[in-house]
Amino acid sequence: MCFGSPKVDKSAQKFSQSEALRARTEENARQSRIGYGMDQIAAIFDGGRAPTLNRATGAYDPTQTYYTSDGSLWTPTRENKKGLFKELDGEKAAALFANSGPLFTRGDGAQQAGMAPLLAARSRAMRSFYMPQLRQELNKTRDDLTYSLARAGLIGSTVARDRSGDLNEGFNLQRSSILSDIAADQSRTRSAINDQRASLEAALRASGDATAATNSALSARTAFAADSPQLDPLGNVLASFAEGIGAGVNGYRSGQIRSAARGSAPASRDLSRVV
Amino acid sequence: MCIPGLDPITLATILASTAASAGGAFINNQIQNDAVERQNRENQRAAEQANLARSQEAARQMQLERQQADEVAKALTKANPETALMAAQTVAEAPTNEIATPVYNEAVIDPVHNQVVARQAAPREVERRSATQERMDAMALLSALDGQFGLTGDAIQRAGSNIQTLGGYRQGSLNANAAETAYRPATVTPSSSMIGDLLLLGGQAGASMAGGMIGSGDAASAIVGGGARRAATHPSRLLLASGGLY
Repeated sequence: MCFGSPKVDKSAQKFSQSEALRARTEENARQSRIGYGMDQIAAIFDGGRAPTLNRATGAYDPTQTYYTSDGSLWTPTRENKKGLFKELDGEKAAALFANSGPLFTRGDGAQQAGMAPLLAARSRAMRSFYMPQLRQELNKTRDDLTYSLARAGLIGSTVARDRSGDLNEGFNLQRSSILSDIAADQSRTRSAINDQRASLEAALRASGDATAATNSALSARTAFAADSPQLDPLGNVLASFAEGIGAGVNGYRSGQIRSAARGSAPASRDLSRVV
Repeated sequence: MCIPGLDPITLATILASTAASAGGAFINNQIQNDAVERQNRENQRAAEQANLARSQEAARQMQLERQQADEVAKALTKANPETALMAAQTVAEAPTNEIATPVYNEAVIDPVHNQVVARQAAPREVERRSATQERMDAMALLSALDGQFGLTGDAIQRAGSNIQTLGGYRQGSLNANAAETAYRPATVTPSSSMIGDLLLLGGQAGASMAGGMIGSGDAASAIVGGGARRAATHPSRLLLASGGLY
């Protein structure tokens, strides 16, 4: 039996619906901004195509995903005069689209090289700085050694072979050491870049500001590119391999002379172990 | 029907007012019931809406959690020391590795023509070359390990950052869901029924009049309401004079 319908007040219900829609829309927009910023940072540091926002043209397409200029997801939602947040569809959505200012679709932007070429260039520069020095040092030490051996009359002796071997060993280990240092520098630099990237991502997570994060990432990459490694002259790292031959031979000969003067074993019989 | 002390008009008035009061009460009661029923339906709808939002959020959370688990799995694979060691060995032994591959540089000094010297020096040179090569290989491996574990650390850092981002998404989504589950039902109030109220009022008026008529036996003037007060002094008429039966 019906004696008149009860009065239904939907204002609280509508308000809670509106707040729920607003909260979800804002959260989706925030996640979209963070995702957009993260993609930008990844492209700047790792390389690849950075996402870009292309101005949306043409009529409203409900199947298309639209973004605002800061990378936020755009949905046809609007607050009405009563302060309620509503999702529009059909012609109202198209009208809102037309009056929403510039909207964008996401696409692939320019190819970014990432940090790898910068690291490779840094490594090449360090090798180009140190290796010629080491070769020069080797040539100089070899000349000094040859001269010392010749002066001592030891060219073609086992001493010459040993000293030559010492020099070879020193040169090879020195080269390995330099290359190892360059590899360590690469590791350190890569690690510093990653730390910087992690800090940028943390800031992006906190602020949700994709534009600021992208700018900071570009600045960081530029700063790393401009940061030169400390390059010190190599110095006489192989010099010791040519030293001591003259002194050793002099000592040896002095001993022989002293022995001869004392009348002990004749110098000629003191067969050297040096052959 | 004949009741001693009551004339037929009084009796009819009593019966009519009783029926009107009962009808009015029934109508108002029905209206109340309709309102309660409607409110219950609204509450039920709100609860269903909140449950739907809750289950949608659960699905979202599960998807994000799966992505986090994928990140952990990727990091675990990359952080496996065995994998890193194998990768380091491959790097160290690669022909392009500059630390190890520019193998022992020889012939710094002119070749030895003296056969005695050459014979005596040869084993020492082989031994030295081999020892040096071993040291270079060790340096190459250590360097490659440093590089590989650096890459491993970077991968873990990447995964950590991605997990944090997904965690932020989860938290944000939960916050939005709090608003979605705080769904308030419509408020229902019973509509005022003119018929029910009129019937009740009529019933009350009829009962008062009947009371007045009964009371006129004791007092000369039958004033509605005033007679009822006097009639109420007689215990047998108390019920009738009380303003109707409900």
